[in-house]
Amino acid sequence: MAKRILIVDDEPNIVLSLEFLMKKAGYEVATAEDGEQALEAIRERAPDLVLLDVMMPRKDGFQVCQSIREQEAYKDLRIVMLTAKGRDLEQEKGLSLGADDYITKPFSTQDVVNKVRQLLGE
Amino acid sequence: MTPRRLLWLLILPPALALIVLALAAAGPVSLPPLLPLALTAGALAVLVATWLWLDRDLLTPIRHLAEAMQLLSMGKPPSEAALPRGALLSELVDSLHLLSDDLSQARREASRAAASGTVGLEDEKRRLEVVLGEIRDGVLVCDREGRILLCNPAAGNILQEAGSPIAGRSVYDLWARAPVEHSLQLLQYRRHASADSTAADRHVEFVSATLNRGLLLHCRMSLLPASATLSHGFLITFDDVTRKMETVLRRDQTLRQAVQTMRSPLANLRAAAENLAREPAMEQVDRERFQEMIARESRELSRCLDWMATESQALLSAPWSMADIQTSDLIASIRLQPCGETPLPVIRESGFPLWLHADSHAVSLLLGHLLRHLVQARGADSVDVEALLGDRRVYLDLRWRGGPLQSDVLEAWLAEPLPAQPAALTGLQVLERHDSVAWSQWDTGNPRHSVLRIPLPASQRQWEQPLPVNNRREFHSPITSSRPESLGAEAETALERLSYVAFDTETTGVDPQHGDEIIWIAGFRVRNGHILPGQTFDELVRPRHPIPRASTAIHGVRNSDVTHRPPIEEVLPRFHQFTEGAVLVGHNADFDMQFIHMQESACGVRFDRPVMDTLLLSMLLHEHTTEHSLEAIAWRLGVPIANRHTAPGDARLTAEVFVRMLPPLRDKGIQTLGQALDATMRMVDVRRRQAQLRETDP
Repeated sequence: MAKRILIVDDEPNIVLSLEFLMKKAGYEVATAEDGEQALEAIRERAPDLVLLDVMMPRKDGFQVCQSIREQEAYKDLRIVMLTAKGRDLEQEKGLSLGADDYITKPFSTQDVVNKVRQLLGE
Repeated sequence: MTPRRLLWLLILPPALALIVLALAAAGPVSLPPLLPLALTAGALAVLVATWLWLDRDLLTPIRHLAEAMQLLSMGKPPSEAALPRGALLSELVDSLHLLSDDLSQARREASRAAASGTVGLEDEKRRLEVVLGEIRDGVLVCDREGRILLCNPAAGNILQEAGSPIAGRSVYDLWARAPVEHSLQLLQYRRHASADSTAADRHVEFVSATLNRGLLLHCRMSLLPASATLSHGFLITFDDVTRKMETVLRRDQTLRQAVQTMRSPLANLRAAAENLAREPAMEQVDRERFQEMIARESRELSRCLDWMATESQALLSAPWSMADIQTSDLIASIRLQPCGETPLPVIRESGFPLWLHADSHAVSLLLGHLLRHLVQARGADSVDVEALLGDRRVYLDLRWRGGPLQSDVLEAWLAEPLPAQPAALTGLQVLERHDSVAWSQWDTGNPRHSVLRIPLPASQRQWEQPLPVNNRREFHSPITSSRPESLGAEAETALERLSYVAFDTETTGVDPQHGDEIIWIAGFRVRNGHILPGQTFDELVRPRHPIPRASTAIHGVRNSDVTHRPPIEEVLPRFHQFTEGAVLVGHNADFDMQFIHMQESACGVRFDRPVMDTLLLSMLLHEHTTEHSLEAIAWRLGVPIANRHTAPGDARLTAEVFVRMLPPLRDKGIQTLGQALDATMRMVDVRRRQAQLRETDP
């Protein structure tokens, strides 16, 4: 059974590219546009990994990350934060709040696929 | 019998004898054959006796009286022993006593008045000294030649010259000449061009590099007011901008490079995108080439952005508006905040304090704000504050017992305007200003505890060794100084108008030809008949050979006193600089100059300024005595004696003695430097002849 991936970003072009990449890599993909939607999608679809943008309306990535980590049920959910390059404190904050890894924008598509594969133990 | 009657009685017999002899020679009176001879001999004897008596009781006492009056004019009341006794001059002596009393009374009053004035001046000076000491910028006051007359401790610290005093040196020894001279000329031109220049015109800013370490200094120069005693001097304030300049240059370079690197990929991308859009029926091969170009150029753009982001973060996180503050001071400032509606928790400070580079007021308000919320929301009545050191940041952790804050709760707190901020500044804005984000998490080291972590920019000071504080008193009275271009003209200069350095050395022995060396040099600057307070040179020297015990017994300098002192090669050039433009004055200066001359080639300096000798001057002024030791002269001229046989003590005594010698020299007709040097040369000749006489005389 294909692993499930949730892509959370308010920038449609990024979502488009990531969705295309992940589907091509053989994953089942769902998307969300903001933090509230993301938490709802997680409850409904129980993804294996979340690609989570930091800067979003209605709950930012940090808040979503922290909420996920507070729930025992999601302890196996992998979280990859999408942060802006050069904001090293955001990466540090993300990791402190329970993210498993981060990817800086702009990113190499190949790197994203590799990182996801690695985190999902493939 | 009054002296007048005595004189008459003495003159009468020879006069009668002469009359008798004259009458006999004229004819009618005939005398016994031996009588004229006896009368002549008698008359001669009486005349000789009279002369001897006049010399003993009149002429010699008059000379003593004149000397006493000369001493009196220098402030030393005549002692009973020094005054002639005897009736002949008793009225004159009485008058001299009266005069002496009046004079000393007047002098006492004058010095009392001067003393109260001096106290005022001293107070002013101390105040100025305190103010200058507090200024973090370097402050230098220089005369027109660039000699540093006054400086504050910050100047030494910035220039990293804490080891050696910078006062007395030339500003051109410290930093590049061209920008200083250019600015000086510009200011002088402005002063000449317009009498009522505005304040903005009266100072010039420039950046100059120091000669020793290549620091970049931002300097502001202004001319001192033309009316002041320091006219034509100038004032420079400066601070070290080396790091700022590096940042600015790097930022400029980053920007230029970014624009250049981005131009070409962007142009290619745009061309490719436009071509693809305009030609839907493009050949497959062409289409693939354009697609490949888009992929390649966008990778290039990403790389460029990555690089810019890294660079700009490093540059942005050092904003100039912020200042260095220690975390302990920051925490103390939170405690001092006025009580609001919500009290502060008990703040416990843990760990070592670290240096931040931050807007301390804003950060203090932010911390106070967050701590109050912690009390309110979490009932945290006691919070630990610890500073942790990161790569480029210091993390302030607020630690309390209980779970971490929800991100949205923290965001809400940070979105509130901080109290007492006119511009309604929010916590988030304060964090942004410091290129920071805050978050809360479980404390990894403390079970059941959480932290609120606030990263802040670290100060460079964290990694700097503290500079030794320059405690040396480097405060110098304002003077004017001049340096005649050639000695030729200087010979004609009046003694009062010259600048002097009275100096003394202590040595390991008396024979410079056989390895005895200088171990202590001290000098005092003298001008306008005054010893300039603070303008002193006083340095111990580490000799090449140990100091013999016998010599320590004289000057008290032990080997352990000089082990960490600079060698003569360092000290003598500095002393040379200190004496620049001055006439040297020493007591038995020949002795000291021999030691100095011995070291000239090793030190790369030449002492070719004229030298005056208080020993020779004393011989010139006080011929009636053979006592010309420094002590004897000092006693004669009424100078209190202290710290003898230390270089600064003797140099000071020499200076005081010399100052008091100037008026009697003038009275003797010795008015110019040339005349004084000639006269002392003659004394050298006299001395040499006396020495030869003593040698030939068994």
